Amino acid sequence: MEWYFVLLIIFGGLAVLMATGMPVAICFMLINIAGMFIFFGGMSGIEQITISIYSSLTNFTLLPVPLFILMGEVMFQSGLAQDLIRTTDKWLGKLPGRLSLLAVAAGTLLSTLTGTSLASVAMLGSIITPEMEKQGYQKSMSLGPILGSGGLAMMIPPSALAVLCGAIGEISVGRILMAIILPGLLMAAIYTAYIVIRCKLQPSIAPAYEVVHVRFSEKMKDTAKYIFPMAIIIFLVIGVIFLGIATPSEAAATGSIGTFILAIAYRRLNWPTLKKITSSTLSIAGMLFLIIAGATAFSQILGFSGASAGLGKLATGLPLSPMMIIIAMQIVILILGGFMDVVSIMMITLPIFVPVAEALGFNTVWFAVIFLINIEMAGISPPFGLSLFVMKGVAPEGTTMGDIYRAAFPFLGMSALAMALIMAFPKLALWLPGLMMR
Amino acid sequence: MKTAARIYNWILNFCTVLGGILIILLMLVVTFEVCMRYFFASPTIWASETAGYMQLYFAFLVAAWVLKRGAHVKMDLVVNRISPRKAAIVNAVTSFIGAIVFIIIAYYSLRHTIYVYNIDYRTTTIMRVPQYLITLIIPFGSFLLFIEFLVQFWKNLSSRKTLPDTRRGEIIEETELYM
Repeated sequence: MEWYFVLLIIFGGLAVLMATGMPVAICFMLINIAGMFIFFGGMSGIEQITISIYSSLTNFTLLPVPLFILMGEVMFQSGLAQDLIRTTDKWLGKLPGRLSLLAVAAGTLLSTLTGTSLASVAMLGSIITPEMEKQGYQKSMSLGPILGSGGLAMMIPPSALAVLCGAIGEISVGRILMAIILPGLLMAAIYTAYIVIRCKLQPSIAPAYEVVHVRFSEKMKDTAKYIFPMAIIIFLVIGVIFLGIATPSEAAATGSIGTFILAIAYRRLNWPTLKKITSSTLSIAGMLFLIIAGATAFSQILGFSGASAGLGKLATGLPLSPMMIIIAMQIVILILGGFMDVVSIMMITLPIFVPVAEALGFNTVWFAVIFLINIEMAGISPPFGLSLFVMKGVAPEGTTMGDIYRAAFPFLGMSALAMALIMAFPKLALWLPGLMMR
Repeated sequence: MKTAARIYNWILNFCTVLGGILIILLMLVVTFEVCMRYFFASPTIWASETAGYMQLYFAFLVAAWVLKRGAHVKMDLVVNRISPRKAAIVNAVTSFIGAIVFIIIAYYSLRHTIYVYNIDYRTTTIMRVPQYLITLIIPFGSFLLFIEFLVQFWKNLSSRKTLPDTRRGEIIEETELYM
């Protein structure tokens, strides 16, 4: 069988199965069983499934995935994340688009403590949008910044998706975690610039209002109480990786212990909270792990059928410049992003794209950064980006999907700008991992 | 039947509690390793290997419970656009397929586990753990998934008659919180 035929069957089959509403983990398993049967010699091929599940899930590099989720849950369920947002609120004075800027600032701070953007969008949305509504903000300036900055959670470590990207694409997780920091901050800066400029030009979309004056001593007290301890957590995660003290998997463990200790120190951890924390962590991590269980088998099938090699050969043989091919890949991911969940996109594209990017002579860590920005965009790209629906869930009554789509577009554009900058200046991504201790 | 359902639910809950304990243990075990290595310069030989096995265990312990909660991510764009009655039929069919997938996996992974038990195969790592102890969780978890899919199949099939055959207005009401 020709490789493109195989590829068509695999992807076509996946698309049809997913469209029926079958859990995506099961779609991958079904394709795997069929693929193993065809390419690995009938029934004895199916026996390989056990070994491939075993090797997918006992992979130590995956460990940060559940632990980063756990960290975020501890922060959210214990109320520490909410305190962080309120303290940030006290610091901002009378600024154009103040609440939108608050969303970006708080979103950036939250993203240093959580690994998942949907939770971040939900948290920011439920705390900040009611206030925005009250102050007469228009939808474009209230919902957009929250969608954008919620996405930063996957761009600034700890990021569960960055870990998955490294594990599935076989790229150094530690380096990816370091490489996404500056691009994440760059995105926050671009969002800020956009909000300030837009609000200067159109003050009516985010009316200025009198801010309740908060005494300096109170600000300092709250900062010492709610923001400073977070620096310890950031060190426990990013610092220990950067200094070469621990691997990302170990850093995830020390970081989550750190959040537990904080929650206990603030007397926010009781039995019901602990139950909530573990049950939502298990729910998210269990869902992710069942999808990942199919990862090894799926990429083996892509490899064994000749599909990966064939597509790679085709891409490298195209009369296009390498950069054009990278851009074409991003367009494919962006289109998939409107319809598919991000882990499925990773499972499908990474085994094919990473070897191609490598063959074209690009740094794979740099490629992972661009890929992650794109995945962030996928979450907020209409019609079906998942964050959009989370936003719908926490937005004020009467908000339509159309409002949310319109609010998301400028921030999609700004993320694309960040992506273009990193393509043009790879140093933005590669400088920090280059400094890492080894 | 009722007793069977009670026992099944009890098993699911028990496995979930075990899964929760495993997550917390994972965190403690790996932190212990970091401390031993960094402060006492005596790294353990078992921590990271055990952590890997714990990952596999927790994934298969909670998978059926996650399915029961409806938290396995799915693309419900199409199903949400058709009438609830038709959606129930589609869901019944996909649940049935899910059941078949996991009974196949349960069967073959059990065969594999029995095989490695019989030849006393051990992992090629320092710990030399008997392999069957690790892979045993795959047939167990898959079997629970098989049952849960059958339960969902049955629920969808029996609810279909009571559901309206008209299209719903709003495309998607809410989505599971994830990522």
